[in-house]
Amino acid sequence: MLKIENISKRLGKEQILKDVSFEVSPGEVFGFLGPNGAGKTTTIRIITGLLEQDAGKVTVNGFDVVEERSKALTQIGAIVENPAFYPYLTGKQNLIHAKNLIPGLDQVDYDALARLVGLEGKLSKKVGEYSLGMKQRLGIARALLHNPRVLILDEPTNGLDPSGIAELREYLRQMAREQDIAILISSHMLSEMEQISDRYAIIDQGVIKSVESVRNETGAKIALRVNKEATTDVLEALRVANYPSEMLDEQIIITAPESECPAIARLVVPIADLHELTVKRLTLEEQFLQVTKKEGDSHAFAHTK
Amino acid sequence: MLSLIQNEWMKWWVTKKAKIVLALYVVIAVGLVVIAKTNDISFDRSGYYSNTLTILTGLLGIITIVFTAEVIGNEIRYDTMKHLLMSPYSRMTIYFSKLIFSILIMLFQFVFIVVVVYAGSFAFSEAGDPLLFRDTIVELVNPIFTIFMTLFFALLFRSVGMIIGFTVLAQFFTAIVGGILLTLKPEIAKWIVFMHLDWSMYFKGTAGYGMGEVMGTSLTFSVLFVLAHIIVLFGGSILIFQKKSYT
Repeated sequence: MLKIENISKRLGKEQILKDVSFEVSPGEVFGFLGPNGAGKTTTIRIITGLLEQDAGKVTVNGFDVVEERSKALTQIGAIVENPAFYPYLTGKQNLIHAKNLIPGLDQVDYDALARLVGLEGKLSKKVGEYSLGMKQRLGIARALLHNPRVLILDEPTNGLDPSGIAELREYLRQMAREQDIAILISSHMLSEMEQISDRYAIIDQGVIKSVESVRNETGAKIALRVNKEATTDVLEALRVANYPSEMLDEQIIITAPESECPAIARLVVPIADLHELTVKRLTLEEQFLQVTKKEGDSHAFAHTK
Repeated sequence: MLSLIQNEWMKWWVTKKAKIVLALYVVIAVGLVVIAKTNDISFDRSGYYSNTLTILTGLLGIITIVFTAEVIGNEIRYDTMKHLLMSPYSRMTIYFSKLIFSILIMLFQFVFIVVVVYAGSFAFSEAGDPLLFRDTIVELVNPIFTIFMTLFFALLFRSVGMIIGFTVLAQFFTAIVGGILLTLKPEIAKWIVFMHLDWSMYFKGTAGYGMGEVMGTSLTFSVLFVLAHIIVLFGGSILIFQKKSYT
């Protein structure tokens, strides 16, 4: 649906993007993560036709964004950076303005759109009187106006309260699933992205470091607590069975996917008293840090609890 | 393209200043009638018509700078330019929609002014000289040139104030310099485009009649000179708008 192939972009002397590639499939919510200045917004600008790449190709539903710009952009709904509106127009007039920017789009059910994003009865107000959260909702309504096949949202939860974020999360997942839309969300809120995305790409200094499934088992760990005197025997048995393991706070930490739990239990139970066996998955933040190996930059990310 | 022009109209018409400006034209036209009547100024119909038309088209020139500057400047002020450029329409189409809209609202105001002034002229009984369609039409040259120039400056600067400031400065400063040169060095003055925006100087009976003769120019020279500048401003605007990043 959305395919980014080896795009590179230089702005002035700085190489902003280097050989960036990833794909977003229909029905998938794809997180696009990276610290500030990593190249997220530049990538989104290229996808939405605001910038032209120096090399590489972006296709939307098979249409090249550069060669078949009009056809490609008709398939995209987007919020780039922040949702900008004409403050002296009402919410509805802003949506009419957006409708007029899509060639051939005739009828739009504005009331249904307003209901969808929780702005019922608010479209007749001037946007200048809207809160940031209302503008975000209106931005999403505008992005969805023409039933796009690809939805691109740059930091869509900015200004939304926790219940608004939860609603949006639920709505986006439902929309991706039911309408088979490919959704690309850029954000620096890692815990939030963990809850909303199916897969994610991490970009850092213009390079895609990793493309993973959020529920991937890469880096998953299994923690064991056994009777103290058997610890050495268990570690040796794990080493022989090729399970990388180490001691940490009286626990044996094994780097292995969850699916290995039964095998590990079978290995340990004959030689030790097994008091505890737990699976520790890496959070998205831990996965990010593991990929970028830049703990010092972790301040660039925010967390929602 | 039509839907883009509709958008521009919606953004213009909802503002209070669109209506205020129209009201201002009426107030000035009616005000001049009242002043003439109460002060025994001996206007005939054509005298009122041509004088009031000159005043109001002069005002239209300034208003045109403001409205045209806002057509692009407001998109930058509200950060909405990116939404226009993300649309399936090409940059060329977007620029043309803004250019055509700027010309249309100028013409809309011009027709409004002509109707108001023509109606106001009936307050005076004497017919005087016949009202010339030609003299009315040449009043359009300045506002049309102003639109191309303002749009060009609108692509160079990001603030509406700067766009208006530079356009007004360019127009009035060079017109003043041209006026001085006209008396001292008329052969240099003729190379200033602002000296060629009032084509009535080639028609007998107008205030500026004979200026062309002083500069040694003809109507054809003025028409071609203004057209050449419009082409350069238009071409420059297209080139800048195609390349400029608004993100």
